[in-house]
Amino acid sequence: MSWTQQPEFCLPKLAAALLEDSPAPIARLLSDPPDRWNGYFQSPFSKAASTLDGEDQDRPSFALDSDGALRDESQITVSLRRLVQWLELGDETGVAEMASAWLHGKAAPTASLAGEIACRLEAVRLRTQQLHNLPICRLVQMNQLRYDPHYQAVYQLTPAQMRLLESEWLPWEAPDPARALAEVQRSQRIFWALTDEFQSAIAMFDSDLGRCWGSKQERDRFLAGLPTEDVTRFQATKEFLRLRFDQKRTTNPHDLNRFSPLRFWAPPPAFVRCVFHLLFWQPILTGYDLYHRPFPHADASAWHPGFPGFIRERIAHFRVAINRFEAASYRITDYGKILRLMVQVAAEIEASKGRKDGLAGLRWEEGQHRARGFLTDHQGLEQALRPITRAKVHIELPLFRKDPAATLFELAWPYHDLAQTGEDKTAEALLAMLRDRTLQLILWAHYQMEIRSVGSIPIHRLYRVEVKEPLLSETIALARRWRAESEKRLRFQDLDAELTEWLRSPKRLEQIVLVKEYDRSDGTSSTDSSLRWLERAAEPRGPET
Amino acid sequence: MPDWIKETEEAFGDIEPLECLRPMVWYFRLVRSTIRHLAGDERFEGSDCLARLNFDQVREIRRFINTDLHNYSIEFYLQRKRWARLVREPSNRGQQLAARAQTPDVASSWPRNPSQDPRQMKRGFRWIADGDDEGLYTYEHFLAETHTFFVAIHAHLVSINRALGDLHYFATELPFPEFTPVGKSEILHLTSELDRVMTGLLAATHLQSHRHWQSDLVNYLISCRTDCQRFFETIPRYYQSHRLRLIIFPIDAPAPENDPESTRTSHGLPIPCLPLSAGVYMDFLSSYQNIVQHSMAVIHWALRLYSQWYFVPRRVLRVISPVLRV
Repeated sequence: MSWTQQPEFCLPKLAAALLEDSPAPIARLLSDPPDRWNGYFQSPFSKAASTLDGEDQDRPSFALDSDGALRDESQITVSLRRLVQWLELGDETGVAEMASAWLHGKAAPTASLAGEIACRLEAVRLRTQQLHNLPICRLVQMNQLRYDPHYQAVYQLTPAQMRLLESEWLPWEAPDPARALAEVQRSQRIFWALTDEFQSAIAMFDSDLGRCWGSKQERDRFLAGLPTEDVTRFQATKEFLRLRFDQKRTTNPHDLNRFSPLRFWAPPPAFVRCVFHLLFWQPILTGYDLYHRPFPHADASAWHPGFPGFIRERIAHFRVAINRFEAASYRITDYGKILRLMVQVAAEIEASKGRKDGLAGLRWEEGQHRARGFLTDHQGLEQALRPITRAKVHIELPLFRKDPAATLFELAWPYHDLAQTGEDKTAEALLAMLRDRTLQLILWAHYQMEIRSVGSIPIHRLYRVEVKEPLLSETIALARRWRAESEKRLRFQDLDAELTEWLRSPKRLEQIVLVKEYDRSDGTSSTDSSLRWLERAAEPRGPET
Repeated sequence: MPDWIKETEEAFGDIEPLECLRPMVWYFRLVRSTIRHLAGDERFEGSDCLARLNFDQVREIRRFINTDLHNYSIEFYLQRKRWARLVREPSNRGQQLAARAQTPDVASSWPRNPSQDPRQMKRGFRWIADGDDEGLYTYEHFLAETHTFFVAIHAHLVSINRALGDLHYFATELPFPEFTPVGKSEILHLTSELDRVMTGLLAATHLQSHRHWQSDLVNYLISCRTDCQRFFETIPRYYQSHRLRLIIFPIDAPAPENDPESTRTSHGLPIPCLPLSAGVYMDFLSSYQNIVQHSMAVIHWALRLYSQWYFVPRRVLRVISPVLRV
């Protein structure tokens, strides 16, 4: 039976089933042997890839923690050796010297080292024609879907549409159409000004994508894993570059993603082993997703008699969408180009050490050579398209000045602590952060984690997520523990031990089942589906007469 | 500001443009000016044309234009909601009247373009204009009623952009210079006709009258649809003359003694192109036809969208829904 006809899958078997009718070279390219990477995310928040303990120590791997940081100094030596082996270069000593300063966070990677890494990324990069018509997956939330009964089509809404819908039920979002329209148009103009690779870098490496807070107290609550119901304004970001637009205001990744038309998909192996767990467990256990948006029953009391039901409802809020890749609607991220961008930034940071104005003098402006790769250059139509962009964008690095605006623009923890001790330490902190992001990029490239879709696209197949016993009971117990101990300022990472054990247990993972709910090819849809319908009859009714 | 941009702004007429559609209008104007420049129209000798860009660069720009189109329904909703608020708030209305008033009779009615007045609607944004409760017609309501239409219109607009890109490609990468003056003038004529069709497309996508005195938007859109049909009717003649001249009949130069009083310069080759560019000529015709077909489809979808909020006569409903049972 073809996978398209199967009514349900258990999660660990999904990837193999989706790739069974794929060409063999592609299946090999997407599937990793189990002893090589052992799962990119060993737990949903631990961006670590390591070999099996005690076995095959020569396999390359980098162990990053939940903040994506290579903080353990002892890891650096191991990572250095494994990086050299991964690059498959002959002169190990020479490469080791090249890489050593970089991995210790003291310097940018040399041009030759950066070139080797970029070539390796480009060599393993998937091409559009390789992925054509292959299944790709995405974990979606129910409120992002709409069902059109007249054409029996399910659509996933864009982030921009979701912002408008959320503004109608989030108290801190002002539903002012003039302001919202101005934001949409501004976002469009910035989009014209930024290259694809830079936008990918922003989306991939915003460590708290779209999340901001209005006060230090709120930030502290968030870092402690406590719910932050009082978020009133979005201000800060945790990105390594900031855009200044029209010389008047800054633009955070949150602003860019706010009205973005982009969504991200993953090939089946990366989805099953990494992406699903990254996005699934946190909202189920805490009630808030990665972007701090509340889930159903976000504030449910651990001792409420209906608590188990609340957890089941959170699980029921997820669906897995599976589409077929085609070049018109989807794009593969070019990791090699992103790497070159990051190396360019690192080189500039290193060069600033000897300059009089230091990091403060680092800016990339339109027309400058160093802006190449970040800002678009619509050659030949620069003058003509300028009215379209109307953007004078330049890029700045975070500095730690004393004025209030700068305090809201800071590096992700723990780099921030390192950087507070002085400007020369700021440069080191930035270099360390970029090093870790580069290593993370290498890991992401290996799994081809990101395939971008643009706009509202129809879903081909939709699967409901179910968690069977006894994993369901364990999930409820863990969620109850999280809620009960929330006053102890737990971080989600404190649940690492339990979740890591679950994810290493094939028997537990087999209790996560995907049940087919909708298939566009045969028009099936579950009769008890809770998909929200696009239908005039349901609403609106107009004013009472 | 370059002249062609001023011209583009004038092309909007009395329409309050949606920003997401503006790049597409510019794109069309640039392709049009490129073709006219290559066809020898001296008015388009300026530097702002796509002739010096290669196909890949133009495709890259088109990608940005298509991405902007993803905000089409959002901007449409926010624009209408803003109008509804403007109507509802007397203080703002006073300012709008003062800003827009040019003659006393114009000042007495707002907005200048009647199709921008939500009070003409029978439902939807009309409820926001009439009362304080914006919850009567939220984005969720709007989405429920119109999502399908915007998805369809978006798909057709992307196809139109692709066809415009094809025109640019044919004009700049293929043997367009091998067209004879007859052929170039035929292409210029078709391009002018396309201008008219694209004006209709502007009105359809914005659901606003092109000029404020066009008080009946529905009939205007029907007339735009008629323009498209007329365009289709002329195309076969071009195919016929092209085919007959090149393939079936020998090429004869006109005898000068047949019309001794004629002062026109007779072209030695009364055919649109040489065999070298015969394929390109038909590619041009196909692309123009393609664009107009998609434009007509957009007009149909726009009329359906219009019928969500406004009264639409039955005869028009029959045009866009032939199987409608009333």
